[in-house]
Amino acid sequence: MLLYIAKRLCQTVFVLVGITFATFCLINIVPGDPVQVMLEKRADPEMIQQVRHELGTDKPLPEQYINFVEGAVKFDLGKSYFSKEPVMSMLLRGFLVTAKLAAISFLFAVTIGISCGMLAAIKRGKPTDSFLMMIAILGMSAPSFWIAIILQIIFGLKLNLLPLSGLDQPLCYILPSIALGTRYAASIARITRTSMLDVIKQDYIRTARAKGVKESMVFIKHALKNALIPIVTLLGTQLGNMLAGSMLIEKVFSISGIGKLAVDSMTNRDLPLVQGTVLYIAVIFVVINLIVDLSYALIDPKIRYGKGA
Amino acid sequence: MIRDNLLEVNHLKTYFYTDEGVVKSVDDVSFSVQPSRTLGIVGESGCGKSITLLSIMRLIENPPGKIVAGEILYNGENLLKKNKEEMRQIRGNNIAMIFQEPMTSLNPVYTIGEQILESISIHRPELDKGEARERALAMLKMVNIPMPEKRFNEYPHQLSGGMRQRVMIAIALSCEPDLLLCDEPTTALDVTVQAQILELINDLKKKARAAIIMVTHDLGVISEVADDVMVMYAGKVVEFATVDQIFAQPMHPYTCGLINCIPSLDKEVERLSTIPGMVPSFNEMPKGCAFAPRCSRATQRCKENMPELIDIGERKVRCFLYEGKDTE
Amino acid sequence: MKFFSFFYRKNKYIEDVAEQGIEYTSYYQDSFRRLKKNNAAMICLSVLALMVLIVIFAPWISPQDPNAQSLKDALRGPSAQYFLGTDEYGRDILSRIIYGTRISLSVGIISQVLATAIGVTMGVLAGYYGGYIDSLISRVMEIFAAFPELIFAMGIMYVLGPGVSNIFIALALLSWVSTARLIRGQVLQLKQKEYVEACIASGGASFQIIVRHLVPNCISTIIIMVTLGIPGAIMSEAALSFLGLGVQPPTASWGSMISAAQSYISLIPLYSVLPGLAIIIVVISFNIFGDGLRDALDPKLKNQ
Ligand SMILES: Nc1ncnc2c1ncn2[C@@H]1O[C@H](COP(=O)(O)OP(=O)(O)OP(=O)(O)O)[C@@H](O)[C@H]1O
Ligand SMILES: [Mg+2]
Repeated sequence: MLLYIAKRLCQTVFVLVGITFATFCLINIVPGDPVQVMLEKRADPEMIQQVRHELGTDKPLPEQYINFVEGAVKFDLGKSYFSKEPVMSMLLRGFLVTAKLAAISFLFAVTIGISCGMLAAIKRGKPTDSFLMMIAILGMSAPSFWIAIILQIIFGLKLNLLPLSGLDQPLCYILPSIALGTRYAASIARITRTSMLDVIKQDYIRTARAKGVKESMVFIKHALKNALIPIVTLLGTQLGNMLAGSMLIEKVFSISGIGKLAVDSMTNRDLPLVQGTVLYIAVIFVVINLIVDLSYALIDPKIRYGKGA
Repeated sequence: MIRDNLLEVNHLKTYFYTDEGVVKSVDDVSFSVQPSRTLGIVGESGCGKSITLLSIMRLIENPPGKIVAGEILYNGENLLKKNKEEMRQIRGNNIAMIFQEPMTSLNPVYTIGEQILESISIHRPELDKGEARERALAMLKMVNIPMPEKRFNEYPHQLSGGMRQRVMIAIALSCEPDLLLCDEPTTALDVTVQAQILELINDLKKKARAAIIMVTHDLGVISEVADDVMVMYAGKVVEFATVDQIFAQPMHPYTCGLINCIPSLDKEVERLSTIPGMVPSFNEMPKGCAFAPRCSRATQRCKENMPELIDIGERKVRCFLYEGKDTE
Repeated sequence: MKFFSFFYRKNKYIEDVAEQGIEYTSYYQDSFRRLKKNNAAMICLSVLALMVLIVIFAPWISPQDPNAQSLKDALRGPSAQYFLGTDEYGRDILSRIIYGTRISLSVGIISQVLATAIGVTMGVLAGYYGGYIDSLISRVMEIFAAFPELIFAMGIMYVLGPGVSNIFIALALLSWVSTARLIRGQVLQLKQKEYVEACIASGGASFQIIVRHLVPNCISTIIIMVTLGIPGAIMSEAALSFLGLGVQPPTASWGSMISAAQSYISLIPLYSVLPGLAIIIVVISFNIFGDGLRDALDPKLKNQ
């Protein structure tokens, strides 16, 4: 168990270093001088020189990288070039908004996804199963931003039930969370079904039935816990993808979360902000996946007692 | 001699409907078991032994499997007419089953203790937590698991195959069933453990007056525990007799073959002959007797017609050789 | 095309192993028979074939020039002249959707073929050579996988700048990792097969072993990965274009159409609904066909 955790932590540290490196490269392999690109034609050479100095891009690359990593560790990545606000405080503000939205849609996706997947597995081969899986594949194939617009048209414009944009009242969360969560709910439902079907073929499920366990408990208690590992793996990746995917939804509902920050920074080519958003979204993603991997130990006693990988 | 049947199976047919065709895993099988007696079911791999037991438990996976005909009378009541809830109350409580695969039959994510407790709490809801735990521990002791308190909190992967099988037995016995179905309970175990487990099962028969069905392809096991023996071949009963009769005077050529097959230390090695050929697969089942292609005494008639199961006194045999002797 | 050359190699390979008594042709015949029995997959295949026809004959099918502006007709509903109405510049929505098919399908297919080329190369190298080459490639894969998909694609687009060909590259870089992982695993398994071991032991050239024994055996996986990768790539392209980081105006792309239409949902809702439906149809067809193909080619892979 300890070995497993240690191994996993080492790997994470390595990946985190890799991420800083990749993000750093990202900015520096932009064809042409990044500052020039950022300022486009607005700048005269003098100004470019000045901005370079401000951002520290006139220093040699290795030194720049070390400064960047130092900044990343100290949570200080300089100021946005355009708004002059510290990058970290902008990120934090955006992150809180997005995290709330993502958390709600995650809950939505997990509840709907797991219960529909279980239901489909229980009713395997029956019309309920085919129906649910058809809906799931439809949900997986529809772009979230399009679902968002359709929801806006139906519930905001035609029925006039729910607000069209913003996040200033609790009701506002409904449409964005559904739009963001649908795709994930659909894929959770699919993997839950597959994993459950795999598990219910196992001998211990037959043992449970032979003991006289209620059919519902066979599924909930005996099968689900065993089916959970692939589901949890998916959940981890998805929570991260949801943070990133929320930028599409944020655009539709005019929400100023971290996604909007990322898109704006890239369209404005605001160098420090681009670095900051990309880096920290990736870091959050990696940390979530780490937590997921460690949570396997809670599910699977083989990992807990040090046998499995 | 008339005994009260605890279980009576009549003309049971369990078929599997697969893409390649219908597999008649159990085809018109009838037998009965009485309290304090053990029925042994023998036969080669794939002849439908496990499916027979699973049919009694009503645990046939549907689809593709289905019990298409017959009746299973338990204490005179037809199990096939029971609804799901009634069946659930019977499973684990009145009828318990020990499965063939000890390595995979325990749920890997729950402790041994939790898994024994579960069946006690389902069928003995009147027991409080402490009493149930007492009982579960007592079961572990009964099946000779060393350090039961410690094992109680361990997970299946921490136990050896033999121990897991004993845990399975503890689970099966935890609610004192009066019918115990054992599907090759000792195949996966080494000889000493095997002997201990058979003893355990024999004890149960004597003390609790339970009826036992013991499936195995090991005739050594049969000779130790069984009172009656049923020999199956390709889904059908080919011979039924008491254990003494079977070993003293096997009738069906297949049974003779099987008995010649037992590797026994005190007999000559030459006797260790095997039956040539293999069990036919379901889609190349011969028209007549399923054993005919492998039978040294088969005639043209055997190849074309399926013999009936004929009564010869207390015994039954499915072979043309004994036709006309049923009146004796 | 490069993709099809795999098939050619496969055939040579079939003759090879047929001598060893392994029947490979019948494996593909069986798979094909299984696929033909799958109605949903066959329907989706015909939809996709139709889409390909639309891509090829777009100039003849579309009623108008997709980029012809006519400001006086802007934002009209369906009419005889404009079958599905017009957008904010008075361009014909139907024609733009038809031309959008070109972008979507080409992005999907080309990016996935690229991704497969990278993925197979990396996977085979990692699996075949093992050791530090494997560690190196595996670490690189870990870093690539450490970014959420959309952010990763956006980052690459930021570096490369917008444009269709850059989307190919960005999406290829996004999706090669999963192919590489699967192929690496398969190669590791194959290396333990006797005939490959024998080949290695008898000093066969590495390149030959890889091309003649390892790659052909991964064909099923490769086909499945390409087919199931395409819908994801199409979705990503739509998302990038929706965010304004993908296909640039005036080129018609479904994602950017939805983005533009978003401002007019109260005025002409159809404008935003239709491109989305087009995405759904293509993506769902690829998904269902891909699932069917996977089940037909490799029933074992079903639960992965
Ligand atoms: N799910 C299934 N689908 C199709 N056929 C099945 C299925 N389960 C069992 N069978 C068939 O039923 C027949 C009897 O199987 P069964 O498990 O009862 O054999 P067995 O006598 O217990 O053999 P063994 O000694 O190997 O355990 C086999 O021929 C098998 O092919
Ligand atoms: Mg069996």
